[in-house]
Amino acid sequence: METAHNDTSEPPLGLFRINAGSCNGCDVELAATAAVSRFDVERLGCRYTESPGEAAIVLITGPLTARVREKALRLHGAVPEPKVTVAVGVCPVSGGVFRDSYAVAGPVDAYLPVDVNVPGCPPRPQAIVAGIAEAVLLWKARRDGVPPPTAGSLPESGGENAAPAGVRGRMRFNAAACVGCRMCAHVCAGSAIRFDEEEAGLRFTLWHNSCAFCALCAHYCRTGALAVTEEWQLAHRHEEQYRLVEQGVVPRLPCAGCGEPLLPVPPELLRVAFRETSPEIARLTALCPECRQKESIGGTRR
Amino acid sequence: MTELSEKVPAALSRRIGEEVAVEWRIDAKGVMTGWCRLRQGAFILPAAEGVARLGGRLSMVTASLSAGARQRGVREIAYHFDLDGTTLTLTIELPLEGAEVPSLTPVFRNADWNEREFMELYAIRVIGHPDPRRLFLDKSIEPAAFERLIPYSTFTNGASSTALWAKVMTRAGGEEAP
Repeated sequence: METAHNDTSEPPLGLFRINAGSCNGCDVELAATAAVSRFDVERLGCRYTESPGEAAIVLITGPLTARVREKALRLHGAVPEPKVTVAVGVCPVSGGVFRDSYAVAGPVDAYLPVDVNVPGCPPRPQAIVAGIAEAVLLWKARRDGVPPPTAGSLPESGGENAAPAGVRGRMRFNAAACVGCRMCAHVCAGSAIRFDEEEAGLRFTLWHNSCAFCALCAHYCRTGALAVTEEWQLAHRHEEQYRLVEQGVVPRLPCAGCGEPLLPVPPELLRVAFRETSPEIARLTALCPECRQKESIGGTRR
Repeated sequence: MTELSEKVPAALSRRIGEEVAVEWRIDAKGVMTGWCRLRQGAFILPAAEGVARLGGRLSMVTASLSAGARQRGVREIAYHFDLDGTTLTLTIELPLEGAEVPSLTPVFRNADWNEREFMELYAIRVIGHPDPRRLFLDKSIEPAAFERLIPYSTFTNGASSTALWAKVMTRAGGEEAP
């Protein structure tokens, strides 16, 4: 049994849940923070309440659908100041996989001041608890009229919080293995990946606040340029939300024949394509398609 | 079971005031279903009264705007009734423009939501409905949503994604927000 963190001289802070059109995935994880003692929010000096008037911290799930918008805003308005708002899951932060739907009015911060985001689809209960802990710090600072403390460091994803097998967490990108095929962006349900042509090369950007941790991108990536990290502790202050990105640039190299810039062929791709590479193959990989045809078949064929 | 095949057309004909034919089908397991197309949309109310007198219940109402019916210049509504395990489907045809149909709520209270649903999806006026408000669709969505083809590009115009990515690409580079 852990010792309680809360100062028992203070009454517990009320946590009020607003379901803004959620699929219920995050709500189930929220229920775990209410019912499973290992994640218990009471250790943070909080308790769930069904009455907005008794609440200090608002937890919002769902992408804020057109249908629920008015009611959600009304409920949020019924929570007395100083209140702190936590967006639970990627849906309230960015719309998640429901973004751009005609039925979705969100993201939530277009209508309400949000203070803490907990990315995930859904986030693990420990990540939600970390977000609530951050909200408690902010709430106390607001109550006392002092500037908010610097963001607390998050509990590690490992140790007693180690994820069970199958938890994928955020993705990481290895530019050296990327061939620029863009299959990852194509299969991403949350439109969390984009590619930009830049002077330096091809820029890859993945926004964690839109990523559902589904790892389809890594599944379809033949060269392992995208892989899961099992890191799921991503709760952060709202002002950091657009900085939660994974980026990398695949540099263009000049063709060894004509100097035309081209994306390099990563060794991972050669391993997929050939059982063993020869010096000849290695030489051809440094050439653009046109020079490669000249070298190998004596001319270009379209 | 077989007596239904006589009772139902008799009850419908008596109520509507003209001869009505019902086609009966029996499947491999002996389950009987009845199918009938009424000559006028307004006949559905007396027909429902006939079904109610036989102890039937309204299961579901399905309005549709199929390509085949549209070519004939009509739209259809299928009313599915249950007579103790036997399903009777009464179909009516309504004009594409200015469709009107009497409400079945005086006979079957559960027609209320079925009718509200097809009122918000199609341009069909239900006469005598006690509460003709929308059932599911948000008031911001144009009426009669199923009457027109919404191109996918309109359905999801990507405006939210575009705006969010603009912010991500600006902040990720460490610059200040636009």
